[in-house]
Amino acid sequence: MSDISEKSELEALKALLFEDEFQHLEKITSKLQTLETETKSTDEITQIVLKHFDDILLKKLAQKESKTIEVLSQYLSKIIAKSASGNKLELSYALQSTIASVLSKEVENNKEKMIDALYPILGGMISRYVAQAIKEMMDSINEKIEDGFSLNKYKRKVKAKVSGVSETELLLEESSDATIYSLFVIHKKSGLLIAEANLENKEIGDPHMVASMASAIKDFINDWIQNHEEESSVQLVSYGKETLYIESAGSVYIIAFLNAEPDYEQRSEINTFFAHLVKRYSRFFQTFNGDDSALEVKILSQKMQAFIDAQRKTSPQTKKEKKSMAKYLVWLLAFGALFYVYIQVEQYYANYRLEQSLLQKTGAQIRVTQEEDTLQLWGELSSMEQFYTIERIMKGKKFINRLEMPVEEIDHKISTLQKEIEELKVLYSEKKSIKGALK
Amino acid sequence: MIRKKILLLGDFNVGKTSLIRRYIDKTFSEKYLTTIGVKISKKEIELNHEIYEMLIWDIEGATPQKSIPQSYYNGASGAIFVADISRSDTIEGLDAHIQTFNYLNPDRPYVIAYNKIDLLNEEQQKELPNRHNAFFTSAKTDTQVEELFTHLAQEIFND
Ligand SMILES: Nc1nc2c(ncn2[C@@H]2O[C@H](COP(=O)(O)OP(=O)(O)OP(=O)(O)O)[C@@H](O)[C@H]2O)c(=O)[nH]1
Ligand SMILES: [Mg+2]
Repeated sequence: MSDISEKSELEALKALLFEDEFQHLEKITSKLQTLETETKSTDEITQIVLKHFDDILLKKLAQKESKTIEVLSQYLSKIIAKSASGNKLELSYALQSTIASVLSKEVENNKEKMIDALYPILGGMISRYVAQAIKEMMDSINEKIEDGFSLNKYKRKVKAKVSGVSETELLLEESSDATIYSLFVIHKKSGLLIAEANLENKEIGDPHMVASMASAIKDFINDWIQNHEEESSVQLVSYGKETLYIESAGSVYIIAFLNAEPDYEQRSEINTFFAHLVKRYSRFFQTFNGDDSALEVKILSQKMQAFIDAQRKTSPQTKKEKKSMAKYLVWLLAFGALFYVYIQVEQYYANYRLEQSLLQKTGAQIRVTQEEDTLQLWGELSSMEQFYTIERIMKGKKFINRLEMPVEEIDHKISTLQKEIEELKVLYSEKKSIKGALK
Repeated sequence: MIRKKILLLGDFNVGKTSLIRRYIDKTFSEKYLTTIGVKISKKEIELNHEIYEMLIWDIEGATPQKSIPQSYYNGASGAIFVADISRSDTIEGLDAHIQTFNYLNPDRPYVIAYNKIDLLNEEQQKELPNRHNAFFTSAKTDTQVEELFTHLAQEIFND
């Protein structure tokens, strides 16, 4: 267990550590619109960076030592000059109180340098505190898992087995019902925004700046992680309820801005969509030159918009109902409940697997739901070939087709069919005339 | 609109952030607030009746002990290398920055800013280093700052 919880601890620690980044992004977004807050932003960046990356900062401090000393000595000499007339004891008292007030004033006025100077002391305390808090949280969650007898426990155990995600993580996820309010596709190398989509009234101010900032932060964090851990990238950056889900894929970063942490299911949904985008547009992404008036950008944005808008249809309520019903059952009949869980999980994973194989074979993101003993397929196709592939996969299964296809594609198919018929007609009449000639 | 990523590189305390503030906000401050990580600004520019946008990455000054994460260099369409004309070590440091940039972004245009030209007296101003695409700038007195950025923009966007 310690292995697993250590890993989740690490995840949780990451989430906590990058809390402020997001807050910072938001601040920058609104502030940079006026482009007047250079000093303030630098302050904020400094604070954020300083607070969290003690190793890097210790190094930085060591290198810029002369600067820091210069600043500190400037104030110290003033203080000493002020109090030097009294005796030694008086001087030390004077120093104590003056230092306290100078410190608080200087932290106000000259944040970077003061934090630079104080950081080595504070940094360790902060990270120890954070680590402790996380450990307590994880302990209490693990306790819940061990003590709690509930249906969800078994459901979770099975889900953990099937999905390979730790139970603790699943427990953490069970409370969330996250909505994506923005999606960004960012060119990895240059940090330039390729396309974006937002929920209505949830537009992110100055998305191009935010994209560059996000990519710089991602560069920075990855660089830092590469030097400190084996893990190769950060995926989830959270602040309070706000969460950035960052997927690094080929030549782009795709970022989902959410109002809560996505659960396992949602993450795989997002991933499927991301995979679809990357597969479809990888050539375009690779050669992106900063010009967002390209046709591909328009189509891409529309797709992303459709994905965001589709969230409303799959309302979180149905999920909750399922959970509370499950809870209710456990008090009624433990055995029956266990059976129910088994079916639920089985069904869920059968559908999930089906979705995955549909995606693999067609490249289309298709949702599979179940009504009684009939499967329903939802999603958008872009070609008839995809449709035929799906029919082949679904052979022998009872299913209703709720798939959509652009009209042009159907028109196109009809016109090619017509052409084929025409060709056949010509062939037929040719054959006929040859036969006639032979006779 | 076409957007491009542009880098500002150079040792610490040479005036990178000040050049951007002068160019974008038309202000200057004597106060030195060292940049930590990256500070991103953007600026629209009109060239031949077309509007373009530069996303300018003002990167923390390198020190001999600490280099800049390479990923910051990636995908840049151009760069401004800044030195403090009154500190010869920052001038000598230019080549290392230029080399890294050229290695990671081959054939991309760049310009050089010998900044703080206001600190030199007339006598000293007669013996300036002579280098291709070099500008003698001052963020303080607003000398050649606009020219510096515009020249780079022309090289990038008029390609
Ligand atoms: N006299 C003079 N001082 C300047 C000029 N440009 C910048 N300075 C001063 O030089 C100091 C450093 O300027 P910054 O713009 O913060 O330098 P930087 O290169 O961004 O430094 P880092 O972020 O630490 O890498 C500040 O005190 C500025 O006021 C200039 O043209 N003339
Ligand atoms: Mg700076």
